[in-house]
Amino acid sequence: MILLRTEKLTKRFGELVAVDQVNLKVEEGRLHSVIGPNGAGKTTLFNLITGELQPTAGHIFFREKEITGWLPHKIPHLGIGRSFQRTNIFPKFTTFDNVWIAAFFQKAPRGLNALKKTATHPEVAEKVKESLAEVGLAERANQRACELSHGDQRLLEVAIALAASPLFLLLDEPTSGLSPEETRRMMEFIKKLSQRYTILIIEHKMNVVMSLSDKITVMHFGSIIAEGSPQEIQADESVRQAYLGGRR
Amino acid sequence: MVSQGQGFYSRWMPWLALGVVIVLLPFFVRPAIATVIWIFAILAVAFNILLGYTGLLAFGQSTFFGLGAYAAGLLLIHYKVHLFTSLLAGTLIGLVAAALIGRICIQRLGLYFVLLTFAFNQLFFFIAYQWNKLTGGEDGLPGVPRAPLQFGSFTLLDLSQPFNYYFLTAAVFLLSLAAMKWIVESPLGMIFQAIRENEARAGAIGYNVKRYKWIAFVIAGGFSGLAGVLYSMLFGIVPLDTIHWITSGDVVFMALIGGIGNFYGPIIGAALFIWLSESLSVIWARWPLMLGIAFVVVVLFFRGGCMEALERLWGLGMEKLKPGSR
Repeated sequence: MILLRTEKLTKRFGELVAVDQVNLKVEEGRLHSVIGPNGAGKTTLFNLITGELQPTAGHIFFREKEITGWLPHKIPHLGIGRSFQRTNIFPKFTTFDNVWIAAFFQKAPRGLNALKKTATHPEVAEKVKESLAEVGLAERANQRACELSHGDQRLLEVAIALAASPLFLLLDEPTSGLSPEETRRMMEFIKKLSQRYTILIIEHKMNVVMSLSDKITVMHFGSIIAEGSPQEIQADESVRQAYLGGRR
Repeated sequence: MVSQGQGFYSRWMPWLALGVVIVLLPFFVRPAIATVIWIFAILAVAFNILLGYTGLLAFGQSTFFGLGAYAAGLLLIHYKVHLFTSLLAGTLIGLVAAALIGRICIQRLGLYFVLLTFAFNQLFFFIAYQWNKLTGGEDGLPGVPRAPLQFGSFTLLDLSQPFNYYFLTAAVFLLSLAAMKWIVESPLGMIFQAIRENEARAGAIGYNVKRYKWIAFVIAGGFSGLAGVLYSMLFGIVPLDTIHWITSGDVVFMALIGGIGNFYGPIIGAALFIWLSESLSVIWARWPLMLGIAFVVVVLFFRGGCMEALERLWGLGMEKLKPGSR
């Protein structure tokens, strides 16, 4: 079954066509990667899906429901969670509170629930502990997020996305800025996640993508130039061209 | 914060301190001034829900303060309403006005938000200024009676006595403070702080950021209206200044001086501001100069205001007391 589908999705910034008639299909249960050189339009594509940017043309469907033009805060209601390329957390909150705020949204955000004492929401705290344990940050629960190492902040970023119990995870360069050791840890973690979630991931690091993905989409100058399994992509001549010739 | 369980001591200490100060204050300053302190403390703490918790620099809190004062004043003069009716009416008009004005202001971010709140403040100021017949214009609205605190025919407290009115105000202040404390410690308060910390992320999690900003705005407006009612009865007049933008500025100032990073900080700011302005303005006409200097010091050295200064001093003291820390 296809979970997410875009149809001739296009985004122009003035003269620049950042995303050009992209038809993307993400199948349920798969780990799908979008790769491409810098400026290929990967993050723009993400921002279109999550409503941060409005498309110039084209359509987005989630479970065959059109969601084109939805506002960013409506998207999580569908069960779409995202992590950001640049660490995007609540720096002065503790690790626990960072995740708590996301878990609370999923569990009980409406009406007067928000005025009940925070301690009367044990199910939220339970979910937070679960998410923190999942990313391996349980011991750092009471530390302020800004005091965490960069690698741990990246994990926290994912924990925030997980706390909302999503069906579909969008991960924007989860390994950006990580050391080789941290990258390995993150890869293992994503592999684990991919058994339970449908994941769409943007990545720069080829080795990460090749070992993890079920399917890879390659973008270059806003368009899809190749799509297929890791083996097919590795053998693809146009991809090699884009990566070797496309570097500035 | 959810994760940090507060100790009994740190939780109740501020309330104990407040209780002591409330009882002792009228022996050191005139009861009227002591009353003004708690009225402005309500305003400053309510404003801090916006600035300190939600990250919204609203520069127009006197709109709601003034509207509450005028509404209660008019009801008390013309209809001789019950004390509770006047308090309720002022709160209500603060809520409604903030709901309408806030709806528009929160559409914009940063400086534009600040300027919109300021613009509405000016708008209502000029309405009050021009509508002579209703508000008394420049001369203010005189002759506001203090309704007695009575139930049926039984009068519990004769509020024409300065001390009695003082304690009524202090009681309303404590109740408001407890309510606001509840709000900022509830999940709603967490959402406010999440918006302050990272608006985009709060939205990406799924919170409707604009709606929650609006809720914060309305809450602050309601408490400001309530404070306005107490002010209208204090001197029996609603001066035009009540709704002037300078009053809005004073509130911002109180919160910053006291410390916006702390729930109780703005109370200290309000007390200090009122006390200084009362005692200094008599002997020195240029006293606001002092405020300017204080403001510069706060911005440069104590971003957390008096609360931070106190905490640092407290920390130093504790260092000294530790054994073997010579």
